[in-house]
Order: sequence, then C-alpha cells, then structure tokens
Amino acid sequence: MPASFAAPRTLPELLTELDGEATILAGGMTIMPLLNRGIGRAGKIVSLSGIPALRGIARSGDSVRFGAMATHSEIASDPIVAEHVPILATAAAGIGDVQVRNRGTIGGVAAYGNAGADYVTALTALGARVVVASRRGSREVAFDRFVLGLRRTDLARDEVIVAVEVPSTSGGRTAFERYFRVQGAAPTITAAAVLMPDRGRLAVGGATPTPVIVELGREFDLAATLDAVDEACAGRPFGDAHNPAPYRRAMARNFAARVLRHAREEQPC
Amino acid sequence: MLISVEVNGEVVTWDVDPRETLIDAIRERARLTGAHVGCRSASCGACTLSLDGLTVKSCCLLAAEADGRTIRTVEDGRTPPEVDDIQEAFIAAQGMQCGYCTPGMVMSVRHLLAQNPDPSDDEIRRGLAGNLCRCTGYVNILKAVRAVRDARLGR
Ligand SMILES: Cc1cc2nc3c(=O)[nH]c(=O)nc-3n(C[C@H](O)[C@H](O)[C@H](O)COP(=O)(O)OP(=O)(O)OC[C@H]3O[C@@H](n4cnc5c(N)ncnc54)[C@H](O)[C@@H]3O)c2cc1C
Ligand code: FES
Ligand code: FES
Repeated sequence: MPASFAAPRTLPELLTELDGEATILAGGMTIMPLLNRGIGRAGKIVSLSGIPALRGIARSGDSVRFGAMATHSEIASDPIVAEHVPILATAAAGIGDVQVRNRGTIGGVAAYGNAGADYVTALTALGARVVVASRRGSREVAFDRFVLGLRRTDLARDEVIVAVEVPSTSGGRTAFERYFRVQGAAPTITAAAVLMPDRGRLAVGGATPTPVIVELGREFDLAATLDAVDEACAGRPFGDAHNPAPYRRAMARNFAARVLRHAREEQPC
Repeated sequence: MLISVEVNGEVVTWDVDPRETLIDAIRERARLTGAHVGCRSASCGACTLSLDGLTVKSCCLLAAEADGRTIRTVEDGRTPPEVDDIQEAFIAAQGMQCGYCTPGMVMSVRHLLAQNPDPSDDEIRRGLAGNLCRCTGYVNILKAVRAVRDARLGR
C-alpha cells in the first residue's frame, strides 16, 4: 500500500480520516523516532497540526481546557496555567529539552500513557478529564480511568483526544516533583500532590505501570500515606535495566514524601 | 505530494514523499547541508532547524508538515565561509572539535539569545539541553555563548 499523509483543517474532516487504519501524528516526539526505526504503522498518517480547534488553552468554568495540540512550551509559559494549575506548568517546563517542548503535546502524552510521564502523574493527581471524539460521537473520561496500563489507554483506533480538562487548583496547595537520572531521558519518578479544601490526592508515577493514587483527607498522616505508596508499588512492580523496580519503589516513597511536604509547607509549586 | 515552504526567505515547492523527513528534504532537495543527521530519534539535536520561529528537531518532523511554513537553517542569508557572531565565537573559543553538533548548537544559541539576551550559565545550559556534543565536554561551548552575550551587551 502506498503511504499517505493527510492534514485535515477541521475536526469533522479529521474524524472522517480516522477510519481505524490511520496513525495519528501530533508532535511526533514519541512516534517519529519509532517510525524512523520502522516500528509501528506508517501506511496512513493523519497529522493534527493543521486543526486550529485542537489548539489553545482557555478557562472553561472552574477548569482549564487544554486543546490536545497545546505544546509543552505553550503550557510552560501560559499565564492561565500559571494561575490555575501551576504544577502543570512546572511539569511542562521539565520535559525533555527546548526542541522537544516546542513540538510535544499534552494530547500525545495522554494518548501514549507512558509510566512516569510528567503529565500522566500530574493529570492523575489533578483529577483531569479527557475529551475523546470519533465518527461515532464524543465522550469524556476521567484521566485516572483513561490510562489502563503501561502505555495502554482507553482509546479506540478511530478515536482522537480533542482536549484535556483540568479543574483549577486555585485556593488549594499543590506540588510537583520529578526525579531523573540522565538529562534527556524519561523521568524515573514523578510525584504530584493536590490539597484542596474539600479533597486531596497524591499521585506517584514511574514505580508502577500506571500512577499510584492515594486519596487524602483534610488531615492526613504522612507515615501512613507513604506506607500506602510503598504497598501499592510492591503490588504492581515496574522497572527496567537502568532503574529496576526495587529502586523505583524506594524513590517513589522518597519523592512522595517530598511532594507532600512541599504541598503542606504552602510552597507555590 | 506537493508542498510549498519558505526556506531562508525563499519560497520553494517540492514534491515530497509522504514519509520524507524535513531534514532529508532540507539536505537533499534544498542542498542545505549545514544541519546534520545524528540519531533520527529526537535525541541529539544535530538536525535542529527553526520552524515558524521555534527550534525543532527536523529528523522527527515530516516534510509534509512544513507545508506553508517558514524554515530557517544555519546558513540563513550567508554563503560559507561567511559566518555570524555566534559561529565566530565558536571558532574563537574552540567550541567544537569534530563539528558535527555545531550547526544545531548554533541554531539553539541564536534562539536562546533572541529570547533572552542575558542568559545565566544555567539558562545557557538549559537552552542547549537538546543539543548533544560528544567531543567538547561543553565547557568551550559555554565560553562561546558567554562571549557572544557579553559582546552583544557591550560588556
Ligand atoms: C529527547 C526526548 C525527551 C523526552 N523527555 C520527556 C520527559 O522528560 N517527560 C515526558 O513526559 N515525556 C518526554 N518525552 C516525550 C514527549 O513528551 C512527547 O512529546 C510525548 O510523549 C508525545 O507527544 P507528541 O505530541 O510528541 O505525540 P506523538 O509522538 O505525535 O504521538 C504519540 C502517540 O500518541 C498518539 N496521539 C498523539 N496525539 C493524539 C491525540 N490527540 N489523540 C489520539 N492519539 C494521539 C499517536 O498516534 C502516537 O501513538 C521526551 C521525548 C524526547 C524525544
Ligand atoms: S538527528 Fe535529529 S535529533 Fe538527532
Ligand atoms: S564537536 Fe564533536 S559532537 Fe560536538
């Protein structure tokens, strides 16, 4: 089959292109290295770059709506993000390098669902929702139910992420931490804490296939919370040659402790 | 497929393969061989170009995606051996050995200094984090960038 490339301009045009065979191309920072190595389906590529409706960051009620094609660079420097979800700005600024941030998108990270990816952990703690569309209609999924396993998400082959909606954390206290061993490589551990007047959540990514979640009350016991993280990591170990599971588990506990202390000490992020 | 791009101020039309990368089009069609290919995996930054004013790793961008957009390369407006002050500083400070990473480095330095004319060492390091050099150990690269910064600020 000859290769094809399409760059639709509108959402309806995009949805007609998504026939279950198409490979979606967003920033390309994950998929292009794979395609360059001959990994993955490259027969029909559909680029999201030409669709204005997928761009932009805006307030939407008590939430901030990120178009799927909002780049890491845009998120790191957006005033709405800085005010309403500062930990996402922190997370964005730490990803990869300048060139990667100029291309990589929030939709691409969400769709790929990599263990420990900065946004995956942050969006889990933040209680984000993913807006997904296809020719069959559109639906909204809670982010913590969207990421199903290691690089496995609740996305059918004809579906596209249109936007990610994140509840504002203004009035609350939040913190984000990333731990990485080699600059340019994916982080080993990421941790995010969101403490709101009426709810609280800790998420730790990188030691398990999908982030560990601990719901936090208004008052919580640090030691018990860390034990819960540790236990969850022991139950679903994830590791690789550079960062084996027991090491990730130990770092998960450390970074959970840091992020909770930072959030409690009212440091801005 | 036909695409039209502005390269260093000149509009060109190319008939590209849907899977052709931008770096291949720039090197083979435009014959602008300043940008290099190192890894084809968005890691090394040797292929760094500017697309609509932002630095990108052009090995991981399809040429088709550049349709209608503006590209600047390290050559931009100069015929070798003509160089700009950044390239001059790399030469003077010996900010290169094999030179493979240099065109990509220069692109990143151009953008860094355009956005932040007075970067600290830390900001320089972060601005160049996407460009790997396996020869210099970065010390002389840092010296070169400081030299341009200071010269431009009249220090
Ligand atoms: C050198 C380097 C360093 C990096 N460092 C980090 C890091 O520190 N932390 C981190 O989290 N990430 C890191 N990354 C990954 C980076 O964040 C990517 O941008 C991201 O994982 C994928 O986003 P993308 O827009 O580039 O997606 P693409 O590569 O275009 O797509 C990724 C996958 O998602 C699918 N997809 C994309 N968008 C959508 C959509 N809207 N709807 C449905 N499916 C979609 C694609 O089909 C593909 O399967 C790094 C990448 C590189 C090259
Ligand atoms: S060749 Fe493009 S980043 Fe290495
Ligand atoms: S001078 Fe050889 S890689 Fe940088």
